[in-house]
Amino acid sequence: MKRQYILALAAALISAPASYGQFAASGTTTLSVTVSAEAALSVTTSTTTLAALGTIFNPYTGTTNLTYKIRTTQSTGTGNVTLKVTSDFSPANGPSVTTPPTAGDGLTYTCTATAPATGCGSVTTASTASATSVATFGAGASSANAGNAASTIWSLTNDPVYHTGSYTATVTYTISAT
Amino acid sequence: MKRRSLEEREKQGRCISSHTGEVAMFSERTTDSYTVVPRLARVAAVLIFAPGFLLGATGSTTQTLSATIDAIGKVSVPSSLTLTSAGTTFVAYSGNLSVSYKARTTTSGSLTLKATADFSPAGGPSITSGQLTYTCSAASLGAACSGTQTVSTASPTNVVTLGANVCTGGGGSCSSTNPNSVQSTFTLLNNPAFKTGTYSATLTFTISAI
Repeated sequence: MKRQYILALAAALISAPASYGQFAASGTTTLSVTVSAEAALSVTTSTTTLAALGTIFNPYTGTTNLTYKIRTTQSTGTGNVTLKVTSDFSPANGPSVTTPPTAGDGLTYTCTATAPATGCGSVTTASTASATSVATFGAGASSANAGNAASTIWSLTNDPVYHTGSYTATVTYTISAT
Repeated sequence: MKRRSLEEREKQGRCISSHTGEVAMFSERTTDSYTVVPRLARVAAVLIFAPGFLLGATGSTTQTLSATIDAIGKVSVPSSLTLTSAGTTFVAYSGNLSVSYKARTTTSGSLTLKATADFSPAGGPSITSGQLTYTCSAASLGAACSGTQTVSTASPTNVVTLGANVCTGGGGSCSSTNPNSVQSTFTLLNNPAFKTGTYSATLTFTISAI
């Protein structure tokens, strides 16, 4: 019992200086930081207006720009940017992502993205049910500190059955990194 | 005869023999006689070497004590500080360090810090690139640094400036707290270009007083 007490006291005396430091003419401290995978984005085009240009009944088109910042884990990390239609076009009688009035109608998009992102490679149909890809990242990817650019070029079917008027939908972009 | 008379007087309470167990200090009792000469010699020795107060004498002396109180400073810092980034992504890493110090100055003094080892391993943040800054506040002695300071590996930067004739503890003209303390809040850039991992650097705080 006495021996244990002495050992405990000795341990406390040995560890105390490391925990609280000692008064001296100078002292040092070790600064440590753990850098983890992170990702963030900013949609710089808050409202994207789709417009039909040229020949009548050409699709409505428009571009949404965004800036992303990302850091993925070395060797094993991945990342991606996705979008999802979180609010379908309204009011009714216009275009619809969920229930298009005519088969084949839809909201589609293509992507551009600067490295280290890889943009979506083909025309993709937006969905209200699930997120679809805008860009992907590999292991050890890192953007510029100010962020890198990416964009979505939209195309909405111009169906004559749509009633005239203005219709609005909401698209939500999400970025993730591991 | 003499011995018998002494015993009788002791019984009557009129006298106490110096040879009772309690007081027999300076003489020895032999079978029927006293060794007078050694006793006198010992008494004389006591009188010579005894301190004055034992002899009922009083005296005084003066002695000048002098001490040179020099300016001095000492500092103590926690052995480690972890910088963290909370909340929004890519917000800068930050951490607060409480530095304790004691000082006594004649003309001035200072508490400074310098990065004595940059972040390692490579691929992460860099002090050399000016990515680590700090602010100071709540110095309980002296003036905390003002504004945002950039930590350097080349030269020390200010944390606290001490004026003339300041001192730690005791109140009055000195501080009421002992030790004194100052808060240093560090901010490290969170750049996406940093590779994931854990990085460490060493900061050295130095206090001087003159």
